[in-house]
Amino acid sequence: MIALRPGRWLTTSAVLALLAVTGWLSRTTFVTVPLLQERLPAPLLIAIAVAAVATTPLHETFPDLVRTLPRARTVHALGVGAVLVLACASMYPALATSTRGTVDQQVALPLFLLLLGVALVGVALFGRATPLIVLALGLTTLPVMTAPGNPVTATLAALPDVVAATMMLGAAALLLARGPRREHAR
Amino acid sequence: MTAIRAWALRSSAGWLFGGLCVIVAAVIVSRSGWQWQGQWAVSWGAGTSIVLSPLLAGVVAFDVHRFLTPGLRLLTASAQRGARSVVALVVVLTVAAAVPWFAGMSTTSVRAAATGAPPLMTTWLVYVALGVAVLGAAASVGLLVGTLVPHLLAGPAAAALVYVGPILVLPLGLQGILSVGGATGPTYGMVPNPTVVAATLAVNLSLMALCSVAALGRLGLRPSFGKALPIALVIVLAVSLVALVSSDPRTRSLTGTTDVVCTGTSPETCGPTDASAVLEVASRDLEDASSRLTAAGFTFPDEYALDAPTMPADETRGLLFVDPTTLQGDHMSEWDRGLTLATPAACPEFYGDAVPVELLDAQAALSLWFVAALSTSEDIAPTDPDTVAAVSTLDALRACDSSALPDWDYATR
Repeated sequence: MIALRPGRWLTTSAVLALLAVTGWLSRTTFVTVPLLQERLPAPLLIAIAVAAVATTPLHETFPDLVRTLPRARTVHALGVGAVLVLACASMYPALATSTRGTVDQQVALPLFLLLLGVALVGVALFGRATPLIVLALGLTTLPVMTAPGNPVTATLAALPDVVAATMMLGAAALLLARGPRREHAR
Repeated sequence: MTAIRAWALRSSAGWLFGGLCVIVAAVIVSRSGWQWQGQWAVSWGAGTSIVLSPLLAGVVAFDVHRFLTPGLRLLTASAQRGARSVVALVVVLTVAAAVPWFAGMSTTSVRAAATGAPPLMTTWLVYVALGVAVLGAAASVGLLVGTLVPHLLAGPAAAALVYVGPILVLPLGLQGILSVGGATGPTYGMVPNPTVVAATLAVNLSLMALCSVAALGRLGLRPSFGKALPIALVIVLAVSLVALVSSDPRTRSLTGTTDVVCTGTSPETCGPTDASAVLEVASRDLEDASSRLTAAGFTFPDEYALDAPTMPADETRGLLFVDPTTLQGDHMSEWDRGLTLATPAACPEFYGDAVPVELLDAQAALSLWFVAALSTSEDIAPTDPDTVAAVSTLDALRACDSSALPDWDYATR
């Protein structure tokens, strides 16, 4: 428990659990979003939120201390695996039982997998600003993908889930290879 | 100034500015059509605040969490000008977000002016004031969340709050809180409703002040006026929220004007003054089309009125349908042109409770025929059976007389 608290696992798990419940309750809901003509399926918003939050525990907590630990790499690899499991489990209630009739509903899963991939790469390259970068990408995607004749929705809809999942796993491999970005000690 | 300069260098302002420039450009170019109406162009340009505000709140919370460490908070609280340092951080980040937002709105305004649809200066100034208030309020919410949540998730939490908050209050009739503009269609003949604008400004400004006071209090920087200011701000916020909810119509931020402009001669196209750019396009296209069709025996009304909420409809004028998003270069889409030509009168039946099925079916068939006939450069034969039936259909639609419609199965062939 002592290791979990500074590693942000408890808070992140609690937020992800809350998002999972919200995703389950709103799995068939369409919400009115400003700047968009049509209503959006709630799982799209849940996908962005889960991708932004899930990788929070992977950032370095005690940069100097971690490098002295003999099993730091193993713990980090376990952490990446745990994050993937947590993220997918949190997203499952919103996607598994929702009808995927509209294009906006179909793109929720590939969008989630790609944003999660960006988040994993972000931990390695951008550091602690990663959740905000994922949010920025996700929130910008919404108005762009709902514009008539835009290529983003068509690309996401045409992207097989397996390919998106592979890209996400590739991002995880990159993070495992590079490790989290070193933050400046305060 | 020293604090401003220091935070400009140390904070995330540079990244925020660069990222938001890209986001503003991506959102603005994602749709077209707004350049044909000044009000829509300003609203669309200002609408990027719907993405910018949450990100600004998130970055402010992130930087507050990152820089205002417990040690620094103690130092700030004991410093004579501690509050100024915290406010300087928020100001720097707000300016970094406001500049791309303002540049985006100015770009759409200039583009609309170049198309011949410049926005009204009063409308433009209203959106500038609303935008500044909204971004300030979003930054203050970020400051408060950053001081309350001692966690890396403070940034995403603030961003989520500012993004989801306006969505959650929409059903209550509350628009314009933490976001401004974002029209996705033309609002011909409409100007901002002064009551709603004043209430929206008051809500956002009081929210900004309240969050700032609460955050500074949390940091141990309690202002000298005690509890009087927070109480006054809560009262102002409550009163302005009530004023915003009770505005009539409560969710309409725009109100209609009666100024009308007409262009062209044969036929003349009329509409609200801020629709003059699309009226000119329509007038040219309808003139070309009607000159070809008149030679084949068609008789069109002398005037078409734009199908807009502020335009009175009557039987002596045709209805003009122009969707700016489908304008191809400087021409109407063939479907809009066909539908307009096939609607030579705004029949009262169109606005009644019962659906005038026969009139609408005839209008649809005639519209299809016009699209097909005008898509070729060949002359239209006046004696062709379809041409004869089309002429009779147009005459019946002009008279709003369903009993005079010929038995014509063009649409179902």
